[in-house]
Amino acid sequence: MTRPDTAIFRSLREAGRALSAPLAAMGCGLLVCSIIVFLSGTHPWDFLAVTWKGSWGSGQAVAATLGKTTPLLLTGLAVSIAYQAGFLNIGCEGQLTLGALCAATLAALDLPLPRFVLVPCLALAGACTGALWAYPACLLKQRRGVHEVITTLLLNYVAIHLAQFLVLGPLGDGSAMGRTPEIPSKAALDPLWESGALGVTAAPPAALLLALGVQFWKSRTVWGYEATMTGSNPAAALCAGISTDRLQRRLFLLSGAFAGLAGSLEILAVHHRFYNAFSPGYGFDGITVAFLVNAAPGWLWLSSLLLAGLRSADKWLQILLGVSPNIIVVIQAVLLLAAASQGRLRERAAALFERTRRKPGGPSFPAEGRAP
Amino acid sequence: MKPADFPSHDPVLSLRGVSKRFGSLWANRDISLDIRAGEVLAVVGENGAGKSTLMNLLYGRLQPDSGEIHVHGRRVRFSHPRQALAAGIGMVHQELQIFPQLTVLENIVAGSTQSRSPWVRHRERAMEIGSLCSNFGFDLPLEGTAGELPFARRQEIEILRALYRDARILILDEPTSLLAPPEVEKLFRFLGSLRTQGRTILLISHRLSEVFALADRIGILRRGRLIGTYPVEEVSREEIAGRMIADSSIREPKADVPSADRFPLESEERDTGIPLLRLQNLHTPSWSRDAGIRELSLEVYPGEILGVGGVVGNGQRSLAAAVAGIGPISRGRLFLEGVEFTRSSIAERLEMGIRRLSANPPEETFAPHRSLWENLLLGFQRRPAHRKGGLLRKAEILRWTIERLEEYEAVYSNPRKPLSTLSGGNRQKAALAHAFAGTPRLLILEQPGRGLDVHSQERLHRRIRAMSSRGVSFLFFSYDLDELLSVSHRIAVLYRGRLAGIVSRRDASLQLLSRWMFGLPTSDGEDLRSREGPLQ
Repeated sequence: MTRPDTAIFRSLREAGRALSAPLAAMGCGLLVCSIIVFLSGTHPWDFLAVTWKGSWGSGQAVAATLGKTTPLLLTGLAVSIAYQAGFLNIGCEGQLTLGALCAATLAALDLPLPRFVLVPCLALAGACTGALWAYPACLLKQRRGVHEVITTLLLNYVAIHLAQFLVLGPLGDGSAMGRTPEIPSKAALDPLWESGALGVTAAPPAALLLALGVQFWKSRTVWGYEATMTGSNPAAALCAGISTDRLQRRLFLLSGAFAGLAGSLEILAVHHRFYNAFSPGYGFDGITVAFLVNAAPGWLWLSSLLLAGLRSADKWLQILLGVSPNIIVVIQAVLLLAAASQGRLRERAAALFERTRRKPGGPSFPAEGRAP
Repeated sequence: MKPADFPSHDPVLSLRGVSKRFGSLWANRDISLDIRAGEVLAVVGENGAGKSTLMNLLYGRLQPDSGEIHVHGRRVRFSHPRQALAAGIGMVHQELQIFPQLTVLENIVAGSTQSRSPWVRHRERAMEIGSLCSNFGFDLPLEGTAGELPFARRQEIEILRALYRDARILILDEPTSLLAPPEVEKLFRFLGSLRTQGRTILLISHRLSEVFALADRIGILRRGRLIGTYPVEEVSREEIAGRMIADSSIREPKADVPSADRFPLESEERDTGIPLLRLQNLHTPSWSRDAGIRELSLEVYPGEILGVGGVVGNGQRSLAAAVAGIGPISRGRLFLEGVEFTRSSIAERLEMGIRRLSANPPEETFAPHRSLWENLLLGFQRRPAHRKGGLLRKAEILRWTIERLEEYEAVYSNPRKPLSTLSGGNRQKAALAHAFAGTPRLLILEQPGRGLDVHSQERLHRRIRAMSSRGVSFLFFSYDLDELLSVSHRIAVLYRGRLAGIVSRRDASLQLLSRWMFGLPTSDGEDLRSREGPLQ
């Protein structure tokens, strides 16, 4: 009866578990939207074909998708790492916005630094800003017991409006466009590969490496272990002599830093200046990205690629089919709902599987058989 | 199985070939059983024998894989406890299901389906429940917050909740494990009165003396099978204990209450040099539903087992938490071998060898949804054997985990599976394996026998004594006076946070300890005060 428990089988099983949920959720999302599209008079097949074409069907589409993957992967990472410590950081949007603004402003100063020093410094400056913006929420949580969902959510709006004020006033380029001056070319990330007008920079692979690094940290290091246990039961971790407050504070700051980094990379790699409201909700999408794979950092690349693909397909739906790009928001909502209920669904599926498997041969008895 | 004792009565509850399997483990296997009205049936068995599973099947928390359950002759299939309640089955859980922030009244009426009206109708309900309380002789503050009541009162809430829904069949899962002797007596008197009203009671217990005091019949479960049911007047405790484990390695069956002479202490004379632990005028605020400690001074010597008794909530938890560094200390000082550690952090205390087994490991020691190895490693993750720089040595840790679990005879399938997959008794064994790991010098054990069957308890006591002879000291907290008398070198009793008395086992008696527990003056008061010295 025992299933093989070697390392290979174990990792295969884990991979199967990790993959099944986001893919099943994706299937649900596309199915629901096909029905909606069908009811509004478009053939579902056209809808699926255009969605595929817009996300992966051409070089340009791939470049667009990979470009959008970076911020999604990093905000997903931000949500995951906070969640690991037992916090829900839904303030990534604000942290990302201010991180981007900081990187754009510093880059526009045209500091006399060599390129290989300047770019990492700008990226880091954005990360620090994000961490700084996360700090008050953490402080309020630990000192006053204010729930972080409330504080991080509300700080988003403070951040977005603060950025708007700054970019229309002191930090703007003087036009009434709500943007900062363009950054010098030596501060921008160059494309490694180009397709048409779009290019892929070093940002997506860097984000991927970062996520894999966090996965390694979580599963292999002492610090990662302590963080995981703290998130699972703070009281028990405290009794085991772990300084839970300090640990949670660090992880929360790190979470803010990842969101800030998402913002600064977006400026350095894509926009090359800060526009008011440049983020189409990457911070909030990070929540979907994270929970689609049960907040496992090692699988964030998958969920962020899926979401980025949908994001880059939306304008093609409008152009080719006349379907509102908001349909993508519907898919995303179904994705999140499916992801949120995946634990329950998996339980049901497993029970069903057990039942069907046991039926034909009758129950098999474990070796026991001692008569009373 | 014995023929029916009351053939004229139809069974109120009958099971036909009920089985339940978890993975490859049969928790219940082909169980057939008839229970008659007005009967008290006790279900006994070792840890993991399937008692809790059986009760959960009856209460609709689990569904049987095969077999039938009949209530009043009608076949039922419960998919939710609500349906069990509607059929007249109520349950009092071992871990009480109480809303701590709601009032007693709200707790009792919560989820009640008695009226379809959308309004709570507070006054009406209060009157109903007030009369219910007085009918059954309960004296509960209906408007008081449930979480602030002591354990025994919260248990009464759960009983009343079942009776308010007019449960004709009442299931009690280890109702006495956290009760002091007089509370047990009160509970049993009450259960006896329920029986005379014709209600049926299903009782799970590890304490055979209680089973024999209350039950009409005893059903024995072993490895998921029902070995048989026996009328109490026809069997002895020894027989029952023997049948529970008929084929296990334990030599002769023993009664559940070891008398004081069962564990002879090798030497009553101990090192009377520097005490390992010294408390000096310790004073703590009340903590976690516990009275707190007032002006407590005592010593624990190397290799000594100091039993600490008292009614629940008289300062035991505060004392344990203060020494472990988890609870607050308002005044006083703590010394380990003469070195003060009042202000040391939890990590420093662990480093010094002070370890604690909490009364509720799933909440205070473990993260039940994490794997077994992660849970056992908690607190040991920085030992050089378990890491290489900042990296965990997984292979080494897994080996160590398995070794620990095997040593404590915990039944588990895979150290990578979550702790929550273990049965209650095995979780306690894992907690023991965790608390006793490494090289402890002072072990604070809070209700260490909780959830363990008779034989596991005996093994635990033996282990404690072996460790004490190697010089490890113990603060042994228990509500069970017999257990204290059989294990400890000296016994201290707390009453309202103060030391009511401390006595060596040789001079201790149940009468003396229970007088102290309830703050009664002792007849030979003068004599006692002279005994309260550090050691004889």
